[in-house]
This record gives sequence, C-alpha cells and structure tokens, in this order.
Amino acid sequence: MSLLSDTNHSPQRVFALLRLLEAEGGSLDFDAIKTWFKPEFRGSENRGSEGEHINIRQMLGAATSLNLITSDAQNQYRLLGPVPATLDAFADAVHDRLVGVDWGDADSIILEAFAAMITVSEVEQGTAWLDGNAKERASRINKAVRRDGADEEDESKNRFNATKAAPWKRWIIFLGLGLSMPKGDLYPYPVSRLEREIARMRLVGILGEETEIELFLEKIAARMPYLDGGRLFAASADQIRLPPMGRRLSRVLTGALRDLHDDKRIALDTIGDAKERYEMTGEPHIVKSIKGVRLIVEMSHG
Amino acid sequence: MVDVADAIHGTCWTAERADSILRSVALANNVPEFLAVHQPIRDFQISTTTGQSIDPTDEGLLADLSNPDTRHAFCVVEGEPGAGKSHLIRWLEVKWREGDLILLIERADGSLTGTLRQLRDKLGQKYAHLFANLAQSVEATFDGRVKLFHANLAASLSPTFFTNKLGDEEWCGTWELERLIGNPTVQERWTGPKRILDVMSGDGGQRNSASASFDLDDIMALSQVQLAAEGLPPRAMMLMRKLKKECDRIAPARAERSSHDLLMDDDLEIPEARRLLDALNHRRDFAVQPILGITVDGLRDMFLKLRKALLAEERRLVLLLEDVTSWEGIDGQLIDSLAVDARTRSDVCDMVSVVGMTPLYFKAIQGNYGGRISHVLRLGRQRQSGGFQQTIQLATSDAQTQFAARYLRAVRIEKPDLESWFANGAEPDAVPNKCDGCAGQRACFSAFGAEGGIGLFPFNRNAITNMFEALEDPKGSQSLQTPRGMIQGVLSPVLLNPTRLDAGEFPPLEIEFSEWMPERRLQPSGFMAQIIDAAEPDAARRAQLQRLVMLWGDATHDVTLTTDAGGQRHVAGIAEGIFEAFDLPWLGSGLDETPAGAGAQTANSAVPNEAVPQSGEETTGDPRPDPTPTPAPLLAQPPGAKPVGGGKSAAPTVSPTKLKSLADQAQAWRDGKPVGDPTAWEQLLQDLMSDARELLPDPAPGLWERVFTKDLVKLEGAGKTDSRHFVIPREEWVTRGLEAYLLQRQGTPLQSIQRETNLRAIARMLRRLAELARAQLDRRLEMEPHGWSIPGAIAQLLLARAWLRGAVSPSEPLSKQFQELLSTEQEPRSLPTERADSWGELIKGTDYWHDKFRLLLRNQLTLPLGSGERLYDAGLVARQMADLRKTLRTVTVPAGSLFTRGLEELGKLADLAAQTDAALRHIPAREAKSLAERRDRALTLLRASTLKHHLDRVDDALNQTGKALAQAAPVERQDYFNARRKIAEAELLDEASDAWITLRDYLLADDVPFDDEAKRLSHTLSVPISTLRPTLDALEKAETAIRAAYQFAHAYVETNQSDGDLSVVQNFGTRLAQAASTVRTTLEEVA
Repeated sequence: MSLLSDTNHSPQRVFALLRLLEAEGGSLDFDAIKTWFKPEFRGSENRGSEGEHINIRQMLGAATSLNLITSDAQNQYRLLGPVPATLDAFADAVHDRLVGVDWGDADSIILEAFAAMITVSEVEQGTAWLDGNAKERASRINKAVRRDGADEEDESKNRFNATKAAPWKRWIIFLGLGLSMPKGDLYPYPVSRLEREIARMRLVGILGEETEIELFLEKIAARMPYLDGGRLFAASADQIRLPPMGRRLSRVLTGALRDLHDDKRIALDTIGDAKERYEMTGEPHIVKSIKGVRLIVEMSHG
Repeated sequence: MVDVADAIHGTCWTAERADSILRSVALANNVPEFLAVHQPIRDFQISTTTGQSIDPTDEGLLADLSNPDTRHAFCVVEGEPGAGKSHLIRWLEVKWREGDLILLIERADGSLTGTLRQLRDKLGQKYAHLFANLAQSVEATFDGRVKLFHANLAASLSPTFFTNKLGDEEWCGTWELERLIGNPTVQERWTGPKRILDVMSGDGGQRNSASASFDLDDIMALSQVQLAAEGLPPRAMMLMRKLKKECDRIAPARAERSSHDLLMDDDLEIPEARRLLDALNHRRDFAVQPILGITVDGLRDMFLKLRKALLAEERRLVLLLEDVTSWEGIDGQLIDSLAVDARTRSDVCDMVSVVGMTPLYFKAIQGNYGGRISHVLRLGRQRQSGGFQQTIQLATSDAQTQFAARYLRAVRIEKPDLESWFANGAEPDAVPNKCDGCAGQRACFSAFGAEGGIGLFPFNRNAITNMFEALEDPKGSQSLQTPRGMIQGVLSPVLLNPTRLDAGEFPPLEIEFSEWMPERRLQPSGFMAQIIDAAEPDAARRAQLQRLVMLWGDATHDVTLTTDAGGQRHVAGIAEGIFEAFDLPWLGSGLDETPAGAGAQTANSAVPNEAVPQSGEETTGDPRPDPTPTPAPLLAQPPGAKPVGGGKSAAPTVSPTKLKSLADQAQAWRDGKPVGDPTAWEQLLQDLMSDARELLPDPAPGLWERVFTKDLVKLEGAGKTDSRHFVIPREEWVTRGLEAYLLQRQGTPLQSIQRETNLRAIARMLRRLAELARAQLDRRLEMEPHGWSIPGAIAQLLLARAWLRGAVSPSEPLSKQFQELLSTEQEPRSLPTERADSWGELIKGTDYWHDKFRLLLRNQLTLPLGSGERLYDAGLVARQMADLRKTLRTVTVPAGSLFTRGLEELGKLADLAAQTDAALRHIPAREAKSLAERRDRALTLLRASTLKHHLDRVDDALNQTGKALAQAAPVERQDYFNARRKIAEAELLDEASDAWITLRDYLLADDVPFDDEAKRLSHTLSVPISTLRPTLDALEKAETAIRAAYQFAHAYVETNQSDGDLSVVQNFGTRLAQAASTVRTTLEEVA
C-alpha cells in the first residue's frame, strides 16, 4: 500500500482524520469515523455515495501509508503520534517523512517523481513537455524514476502512471512544490517549500545568515533531495543519463532562488571568483551566477 | 559579417543640415531642399466638373490646371492639417509655367489681416491702389473689437434684422435671442466671441487651420452663464435652461470626444444647441466684417479690378491659397470671387485658383458653394472607424518609409551639392545620395535597411512605421499620421540630435520629450523588460534599450531570435548591427533561435485535452480511473476549468476578445493609468484569486467567498478602497505576472524562453497573491494575534443551542451530537419557557442566526474532492465540541465589533459565542436549583401522598363545600378543575402510567452529585419537566381553591347571624357544621 495506490484522498482529508482521532482520544473504529466524516443530518444534500465507503477507506489507507495511524485490530484505528497543529506543520511533517523514507518504501515514488519532473525539464530545457496529455506526462516521469522491474507494457504496473498522477499532484501542491498552471497542468515550482525549508534550517542553526553557495546547496540537497545534488535528483539524472550539471543549477532551482531573491526573502550574492560561483540557467535575469546566499528577512517557518 | 560599429564611423549628417531640411511648414524650405524631399503625390481622389479625367498624381493635376487652355478652375485641395495641402500647392507654384501671374498666399500668421497684407505685397506697388479702400482700420483695441463683435452678433439675431431672411428668424424670435446674447451679463461672461476673434487673429500663430466657428464648447460656456444672467426675458431663460440640460447631458461624452466629433454625431440629442450654433455661425461673417474693417463687397471688388487689369495685360491669374481658414470672415466673399468664371463674362482675366481646406471646413461650405468648385482633390480618405481622415500619401508602411528615406537622403547632402543638383535641372532621379559612395554601405544597409538605395540609418523600417503609427495628439484635436507628423514626430527627434549617436546615447532621449509620443508606446512588455534588465545594469542605457526595442523592434509580444539570409541575427526584429552601431548590448543572448517560418509554441499548444480534466483526475468516483482521454461530456467545462477542492471557479468567464483588451489595459495600469471595463476586470481578478486560492493548504471554504467578493478585489488605483478591500498592488511581480497570465489565458504563441519565463512569472504572482490572500483572511477574520476557530465557535454555539432546545443531550456520543448540530432544527423538546431565564435567553439570541451559522459551518467543513461524495471535516470541530461538553466554555473569540461590513455574521457569531461562554456554564446549576425547588414544592403539596390520592381528597372536599355553599370560591375551584383535567389527560392520575411513574421516580429520587456541568445539564434535560410543570400547577391550584373555600365559609359564618326565623337559623347551622367539618378535615390533613 502506498500513498498513491489510494487515489481517492487529499492531504486535507488525511489531516482532518488525524485531528478527529486526536479529539476523540487517539483512536476510533471505522463506524465512528464513518459517522463523523459522513454525518447523516436533516437538510443535507445527497451528493452521491461511494460503495463500501471507499473514500473513507482510502483516506485511512493514505494516513496509514504515511505512518500516521495504525490499525491494531480490525476496523480500529489509532494515532501513532502527536498531530501537527496546522496544515502547514502537517505539510512539513509529511515532507519530512517522505524525505526520510528509503528506496524500498512505496511512498518514495512521490518525491522521486518530482525529482524526475526536474530532471526531465532539464533535458528538455523547459517545461513544454508537460503540455502533453496525462498519460504522456506520466510516462515521461515513469521513465525518469528508478526501475523496479515492473512490466512497462502494462502501464498500470508502472511505479508512476496517469492514475497515480491525480493524488500525486494534490500532494505536490500541498507540499509547496508546485502549482496548477492556468490552462496547463502541474508546474514544478518548489519556491514555497524552499522558503520554508530554509527558514526551518535557519531556526535550528543549520543555515547561518550568510552561506557559501556550495554549502547552501549541500544543505538544501539534504532537506530537499529532489533538487540539485540530492539523492533523488541524482538517481533520476542517472536514470535518464542527464549530463553532469557541474557548477550549474537546474532550471527549477534557478527559478526558485531567483524568485526568492526578487521577493527579497533571500539575497543572492553574485560577486566572487568564477570558480566559487554556480551558474544559473534559463531565463534572462540580472542574477546570472551566485557565490552565496544571504537570508535577509525573517522567513516563514510556521 | 562586417562589424557595423566599424563600418559606421559616427553620423553621416549634421544637425545643421537636419534643421534646414526638416521644416514642417512646406514653404519654409528653399526650393532645392523642397524639391529634394518632394515625394510624388499619387493616388489621391479627384473629381471635376469639367468632364475631363485627370491622372491622380501631382503631375497630372499640374498638367490639367496649368494647361493654357484652362480659362477657369476653382480647385479645392482637401486634407487634414499637416496632410500635405501646402506642400502640393507649393509644388504647383514651383512647377507652374511662366507667363501667368502666380500668387501663393501662405497661411502666415493665420490672421486675415496678415493674409491680406501678403496679397498686397505679392501684387506689388503696381496694384497697391486696389487695396486702398479694402481694409479700413478699426480704431479699437482687441477687447473693444470683441465687444463690437458681440454686439453685432446680438443685433443680427433680431428676427427683423436682415432684409434677406436667413430662415431661422422665427426660432430666434421665439427665444428672444437678441436679448439673450445682448444681455450685459452674457456679454461680460460669455467667452465665445472672444475665442472666435482670437482664432481669426491667428491664435498667436498656432491656428493650424482651426476654424473660427462657434462650436459646442461655446454653447456649453454660454449655458454656464445662466445662473448669473439677470434680467433675461422668460423665453430666453427657458432656452438657457434647455441648453443647460443638453450640455449637462453631453458633458461626460465631451470629456472623451472632441466638440467637433460630438457635433457630427447625429444620435446626440441636442436640438436647441445645434439650432443656436447654426444661428450664430450664419451671422458670424456679418458680425465680424465691420470689425475686420472690410466692407461687404470690398474683397469682391478688389478681385474684379485686379482681373480686369490682368485681362488688359493678357495674363492669367493663378491664385494659390494655402489655407482658406485664414480668410474666415470674408471667406464667403473670397469664394464668390474665385467662382467668377471668365468664360461667362468678358471683362475679367482667366483665373485658376487652388485653395487648401480642411475636411471640416469643406463640409461646411459645400452646401452653398459646392456647385461652383471645378476640382475637388482629396488627400485623405475616411477611416472606417471614423475620426480624422487617413492621409493617402502615407497610408502604407512602404510609403512612410519612402517618405522618410527622401528626408534621410536630403539631410545627408551637403548644401553645395544640393544647390549644384538644383542648378543642373533638379532631376528627381538624380538627387545626390551619399549612400552611393559610402564604404560602410553594405553593413549599414544590412543592419538598418535601405529604401531605393537610400540607407535608413539611423532608423530602420520598424522605427519609421512604429514611431509614425504611435504619434498621438494628446488633445485629440488632429491626426498626426500626416507628413507633418512624420517630420516633426518621427524624423526630427532623431535627426536633430546626431551628437547623441556619437555619445552612445541612441536612440535619443528626445523621442520621449515629444508630447506626441505616448509614454505607453515606450514601455516594453514585462518579458522584454526582464531581458533588458538582465542585459544592462545602467538605467540610462536601459532606457535607450527600451526605446530601441519598442520603436526599432517588431512590436510583437513574442521576442524572437532569427537570422536573415545575409547571416545577420535579429532579436525582436532588430538587427544585431543596430545594437553595435548604437553601442548597446545585444539582447538575443540565451534566446532560442526561431527557424524561419516556424511558429512559436503556444502557451498551451499541446494541451487540447488538458482543458477538461482527464478521466480520473481530480475525481474520486473511481479509484482506478481510465487514463485514456475521453470525449468531453456535453456540458463539459470550458478549457482551463479545473474543478479542485477549495472552490476554484468552474470556467474562465472572460472572453478571448476581452482578454486581449485586458492585456492592453494591464499594460496601461502598469504605467499608472486606470483600467477600463470594470466588469471584465472583476471577473478576471476572481479567476486569478481562484487560481491563487489553490495554493492555500486551507482554501477557507465559506469564508473566502465573503472576503474576496467581486467588489472587494481591486487593482491598486482602480477606485476607492478601504480596509475591507483586497488591493492587488501595482508592483513588478503583479504587472509581470498579469501580462504572462493574460497571454497564457489567450494561448498566445510564444517562444520557449518567453513561455518559461512567463510560467514562472505566473507562478510567482499566484504564490504571492496566495500569501497576501492568506494575510487578508487573517486580518479580516481577526485571526491575529491569537487566532480563533470560526467553525469551532459555530459548532459550539449550535451545540449549546441543540442542548438547550433538548434536540440532543450532552451525554450522547459526540458524533451523534455532530449530526444534530448540522441538522435543520425541529420543534424544541426542552420546554425552554419553563426553564431558567438564561436558558431561554440563550436560545432566543441565536433564533435568527442559527440557520445562517449552520450553512456556514456546513460549507466550512466540506472536504471536496472533485465530483465525489462529500466528506465533512469533523476533525475541525470535534475538539471544540468535546471542550464545550467538558467545560461549557466556548473558544476565545475576538470582539464582534471588530468585524467590518460584509462579515457582520462573524461579528454576531463572536458576540453570541461570548454570551454563550458567559451564560452557559451557569445554566445547569440554575436550572437544577429551579427544578429542585419545584420538586420540593410538589412533594410538600402532595403531603406524602400520591398525586391521585391527594387530588381525590381535594376533589372530595371541594365538591362537598360546593354543595353546601355554592358561592364558595367558584373561580378558584374552576381553575383547579381545569388544571386537574390536564394532568388527567397526561395520564398522571393513572398510577400505572409511564408518565406518573417517571414523575414519581423523579420526585422521589435522591440528589446525585455531578462531575461536571454538562452532566448536570444533561440531567436537567432528563427531568420530566413536561409533567412536573402541570402537576405542580394542579397542586398549587388545589391549594388555592381549598384556601379560598375555607375563607369563604369562614366569612359566611361571621357575617350571616340572624335573629328572625329560627328554622332558618337551624337549617343554616346544620349545613355550616357539615361544611366546616369537611374543610377542617381537609385542612387538618393538609397541615
């Protein structure tokens, strides 16, 4: 079971479940959960019903997959830890969990697929490839993630496919890694997450006020392994034989850093020897290479 | 490729030569210069009454008019100011055959006096005598002449003034116009006549073919005098009121359109203003001629005498009048004179006259003089869109380029070379061209382009046409797409400043100084600005680059990089050599080359099926959706619609045409201008906010819709705003994002890098909008500094209400209580009116609001997922429900008064939550105390008996008393019996009934302690208050009846002692003894 094998759920539903369990003392049985989430009340509009309460079951499945709840006995569900106070904190927790899972974990595909989006965009020198239909997009991503020996002829068995794309997209947006582009589809845009992770690292002293780009990228790669230099990025780059980036940043990371710079959330220092700098990619911008990163305002860290 | 910077060593012209050549007044150049820049005028429209067809070229016209056989011609050259009338007329003069007396009368200072002086000077001393009696000088100041003009005008409005009626006398008489215009206040304050004389005097040399006719502005000015005008006759006052009304109606339109435009608009209902204008203009010449000092027939006589003299000399008179408006006041006489045909009378010489007129003037005289005009030549053609005529000579970009090229060639020629060319016959095909021998010609032509062998340097073709098309008169009073516009607005700012080229300051700043060049035409798109910013750190040089790309570029949204056949690279239509020549950084770095003929990618070129969500995407009905695209259902959402949890709008509702217009407006907004089309903007901003909302983890259902209504989301500067408004700031991230967003929505084809840049600009804008929206939600919902749970407060309020109404008990499982608080209410079961006061008050306080809160709560709890079954976020309120049950305290709420208009409901929620918090926790104790008192009282009254047993005894006592003393407490007894009947009906007198057993058990139960107030409340709700109340009522009434009966009996005994009939006494004594015995027995029992 993985987060994406259950397609009929959303981050908000999973968080609602956690809060309910917490309010009810930490555990509930299925019927109680069903009663809470699908209350029958006078004056309600019937908006269809889903057999076997599939939406409840998949919400429970997603929460279980994230290791947030467990089922000690049949139809009995129990919280496994404290519930984050806010949706933002929940997003942090989920991100931490997904970053921490090892290759064998079924949920590893979520951030692997996002890393694939970035590497494929690097190969394609842009995101125009995302204009394909859902099946084509999913296929490109699937080809850029690690193989697990599944029969690629059978799309449904692929690690990533169009069916999984819908819940995946919801999680990616929720985690602050992308957005739904008007007249388009999911657009890789990890600015919110990057800002949040920088703030979190700053809070615990992992990042100082000023950091050399090399170190900065190292820290970022550890916290966001789907970005340049991270293990998920590297695996995908290897999978699609992306030439080594050298001292060049990917388009996605370049864009994210430039936006934070333009918004005065961070300052990209550009002065320094060429060998100390990383070149930025893509669009015309006044910042073409960076030597270091300064954190210039109190950043959001929930 | 040859390096253009090397090839072009500075400028190839001088400021002095440019200054000499670039004369916007046709007659200002010397003849060689004039001929060097002359562009053959072709394709104009010409009609004649001579029956001869004329080749529509300047040469054809000259051939026809100057033909010695032409004995009479009256040719009108019609064209907008600056369209080339004067140029053509001067060219005719230069080319006219010798022998004729050619008089070219310039516009000069625009005044009639100046015009007449010119005529006299040109005719020379020989004919000076003809002017002897023409112009009588008027010994009056300008002010004096204004007064005279005004007085003449007023007098001429009298219905009996003219011997030959003008036809409007009756109308003038009806409204007493003579007295109106002649009114002293009107004379003093109405500026119309002064304006007319100003124009006729040349308007300080700025007349520019302006007509000296009364116009709508004059009528508007007159209507403003109304209130101050005293002593007006009633009819005149009435007309003034009508005029005021009409003028007020057109005032808003006047702000947008010229007075002339409005007058031409037949749909505009201003009948009285139009009639008054006609009346004034018909009388203008009469009124002004005495001021000008010219007699009615003076000019006509002068021309006749001149022509008679020329006849004697056998000469033909050729009168070339640059601008007829210079003759206004006596233009009627002039035209009369020009129309005199020598073929119809033998005493005058032949005459050819060519007269320049604006379309407006020509239209006005056509009715009276149309038949006498032999040639009408039109330099312009009407535009479909209306407004000013389009000058045919410069109608195409080729013609514009050719026109400019002639000037470019001319400014490069040294004066001696030009004079030499002229001296050698001024062959048009042999005008010296400096480019012919230029070493840098190849590189120069390759970069800047050439026209007919003339290099366009320092322009290119785009620069000429872009600048020309951009010209705009800020007053809206003239078209600038004319030769004059080209010279003054395009060529002069660039060519008069050659030193800037050497200083590396090209394109020169002077382009921006021209008031004819709208600022917006110099503002690049956000993407181009981004490219410029990335390429050039210096602000002044960035401004040069902006001028370059906006004017020298191809003026399209798409920034393309191409290579031409000669190997020259172009970015945005500007050759790389131009950047080199102007010493500016190349802007094509990093751009993808667009292969010739290849279409750019559309913003969403490959997403035809993406507009409709893929089957399974964002839906929940089937967990294993078929990824194969399926045909869109009949009622599929339009492209771009993405139903997403959180209430994203279903479809783009701004039409593609509107999107284009909004894109233009967005550019204007960026530059500080207001936006039009508020409805379309409202919709677009709603779409935008909806897109931004998707980025919020909590899309705030139910609240978002209240905070971000159409009315409350505004672009900065787009109307008045207050603290309730969400104002989208005019900052770079918005202007750039909006530009990209609108292109994306339109599906505009873009090259890869622009597309990528735009997507990121959209993403950035949406992210920041989401951040601001979140802050706005927090601010308006009073989430700062501590935050509060709106759904929690609502749930608690509704739950408390449900408890107090007996709809659900606090002891029920919370999930059941959750269902109840979401449910539409039924009749209360707790008999609130029988409860403690605060109980009923709390319920009453929410009577009006509970339905609204319930709906809001249902919305807030919704956890949608596509079109699937709805789930409710019970987790959002479960804790608050549990807390309420535990403590009977609500969540902390802000003060209700903090909530502004539109959020009154939340203010009320806060107030009611605060009230509930204050009252609810005390209710169980109060109610329990009240119940205990009632229970104790009931037990007291029952006197250890059952209800039935007790009441049976009361019944017996009262019945016996009634028999003995019928008048004993009849009312009290009846009250009791009524109460008793009710409890009998409630089966409380049936000792085996559930009702009695429940009541009995309650009455006899021991007091139990409660862990918390909710349990106490729960307990109070379980009390059989519906039977306790009538029981107690019956018991109290029984008590009252017994007491009343006793008192009656006692009083009866005291007051009915008799010493008469002993038998009566004996009888009464017996009944009294029985009654007293009964009552006493009862009371003893009661005691």
